[in-house]
Amino acid sequence: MSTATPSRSAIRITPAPRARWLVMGRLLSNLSHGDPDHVTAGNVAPFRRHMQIVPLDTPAAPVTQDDLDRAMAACPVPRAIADYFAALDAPQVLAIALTRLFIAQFAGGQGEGLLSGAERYQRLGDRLRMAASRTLTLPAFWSDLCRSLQVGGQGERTLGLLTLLSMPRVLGQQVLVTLARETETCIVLAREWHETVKRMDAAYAAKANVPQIVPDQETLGYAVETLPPPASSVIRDVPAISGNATRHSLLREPGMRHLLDRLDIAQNDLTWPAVAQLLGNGGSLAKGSAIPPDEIALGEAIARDYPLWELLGGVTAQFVLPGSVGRAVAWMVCRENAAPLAALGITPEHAAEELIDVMTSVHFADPPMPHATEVLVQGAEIAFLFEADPYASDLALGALACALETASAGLVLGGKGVTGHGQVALTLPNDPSFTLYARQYEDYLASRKAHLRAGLLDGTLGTGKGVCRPAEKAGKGKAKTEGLFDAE
Amino acid sequence: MRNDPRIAAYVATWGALDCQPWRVRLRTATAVGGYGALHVDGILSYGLVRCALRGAPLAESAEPYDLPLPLRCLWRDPATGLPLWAATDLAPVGLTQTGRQTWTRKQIAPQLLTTSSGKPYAPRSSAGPYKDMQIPLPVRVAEGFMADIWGDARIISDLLQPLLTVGKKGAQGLGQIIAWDLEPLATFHLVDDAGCARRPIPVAALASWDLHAAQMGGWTPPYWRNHTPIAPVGTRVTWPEECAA
Repeated sequence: MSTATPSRSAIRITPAPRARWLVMGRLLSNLSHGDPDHVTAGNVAPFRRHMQIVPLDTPAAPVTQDDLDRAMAACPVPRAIADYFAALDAPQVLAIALTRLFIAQFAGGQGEGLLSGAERYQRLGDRLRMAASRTLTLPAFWSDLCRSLQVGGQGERTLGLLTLLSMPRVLGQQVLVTLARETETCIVLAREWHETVKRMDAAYAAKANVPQIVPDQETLGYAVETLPPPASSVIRDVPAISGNATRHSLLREPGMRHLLDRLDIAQNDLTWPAVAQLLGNGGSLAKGSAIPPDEIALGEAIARDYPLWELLGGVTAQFVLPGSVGRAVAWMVCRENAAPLAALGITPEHAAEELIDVMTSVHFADPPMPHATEVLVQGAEIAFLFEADPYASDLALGALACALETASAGLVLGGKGVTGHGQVALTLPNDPSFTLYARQYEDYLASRKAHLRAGLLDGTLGTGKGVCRPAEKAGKGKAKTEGLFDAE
Repeated sequence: MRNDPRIAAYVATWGALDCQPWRVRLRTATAVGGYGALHVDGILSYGLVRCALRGAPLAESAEPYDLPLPLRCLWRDPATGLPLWAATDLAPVGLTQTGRQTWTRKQIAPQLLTTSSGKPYAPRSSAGPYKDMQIPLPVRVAEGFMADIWGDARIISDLLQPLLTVGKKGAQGLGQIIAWDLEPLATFHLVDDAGCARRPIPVAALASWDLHAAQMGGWTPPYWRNHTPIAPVGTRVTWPEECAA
């Protein structure tokens, strides 16, 4: 359509936040931070992990034809099922072979061992995918899989296994990608392969009363040129602190405590659930609520009066407040996060998985109930980065600074806080504007204390309208207001 | 279309547009959350509202606002006047994978509330408006996202610079922008070499399209208006030559 010749220069546009503050955290105790996406994936409750691109720090040696031939020779395929593998590439066949070896080692001779039944294979699939998604090498993958299925190192040291585990790293990473993305297919074909190998044994066939399969195997051959080129980075699940937890624990919850303290509101003074919810977790719309026609004006007035909500946003009983101006992101200080950390002037020493440990607790019942949880170990560091929208007000920045100051007095992050987990020491930014904005916000709260206090206690948020009160409804011939706790 | 005088006043400061073809590359530090593709014209519309209203919200409206963008307009819907902008969708490039992140909302501490008799009270966390929630959100990690546009780079820079994140849940750190890179491009193509659409296009604008692939969807900001028959991205289409300018 356009035929203009480009004689122009390239342009780079970088975001320009109003403020960018780095807060460093050091764990004083182990941190438990569960992963809702993998809650059923193991006997050990996994630490939260986020998918991200991980650069490979050492250049990988290219795979040679000899390497590939040696790996393929370690896993000859029964000729009876060779057709199933005809359309697969080398990493897929090796991924299935590795899965088959795991099943062969731990399933038991009659298929009635550790891995019998549909549920067991479902669990194997969950854990296989999890292990393949979070490790960078095949030996690490095998260890992780054995640990998550609690089989330890009981397996036999077969030549096939040792050969597959020692295949070149580049090839191993391609196998891991296949295992993570095509887990179910790998298990289906591995089970068929395993069953076929068993039926090639005359004694097994006779005992199981099934026809014996001719014991004939073939080594599949692939040209090394058919392999994908070595990658400089891979996508892996890396332990992470969620931005949601960061926002709640470092901003919303301490921001609430700071606000209530400055307004002389005791915790149990609040009687309107919608106000408490808005302060405590952002709130939600009440049943049957109708958006008022002056929603925008009301929202702007509330955000102007209560800068904490300009910073964080939220929902009254009737409508959603204007969007938040604050952004929170947490970077675990680990080698996988080297790139974003370098931009913050931080050089990590440890790999993420080195900082994860498993902690077993016992619930004292009869019989006792042990449960294991992955934790981020004491001493680990987290870089919390907070950015404010270019149009954020000074008071919103002050609310951000005061929330962080309050959090630094005693932050508990993640789960199991009552058992001492997740205690974090914070180092606040050494920035004069940080203190300046905090003092402005403190002065503002002091100057408008009566108005702000009344707004929280009467559910109007200073608007003169019951924006945090439940909707009125008709009943028994006259209008009545829902009780405070009618949601129950 | 609905007009807002603040937007009209801001757009008036642009003067004459110098539209050129550019290749846009977006790099993000974190996964991008959302249910659909990233649309350059959608992001620029958001940037326009942020800049023109200086962060204030635009009143909700079932009728779309008139949001002029510093992009070449390829076609206008004769019925509504809505424009089809010269911008392809931001497609992931390089290493990329989709996944899921679940965010949670938990019940407040019970000591925050009291009943009228003065006892601590916690609303039910398992049902009702205050229940605990676990919300899964699709996310995508990618080495970068790429689109082609035909627009005025100077004004586009002004609109993109205030944006810190793209996609959903930016406040939770998703879609954190590292940089936008604009590289000069010789020509802008709405349709790729295989004849497939590189952005959603309303079928009314097309000379021909794959009837079986057409669906109802959004094609211009606001993309939530999804009741127009469109040819989605990847559909074989014929773009009428007379609409090229």
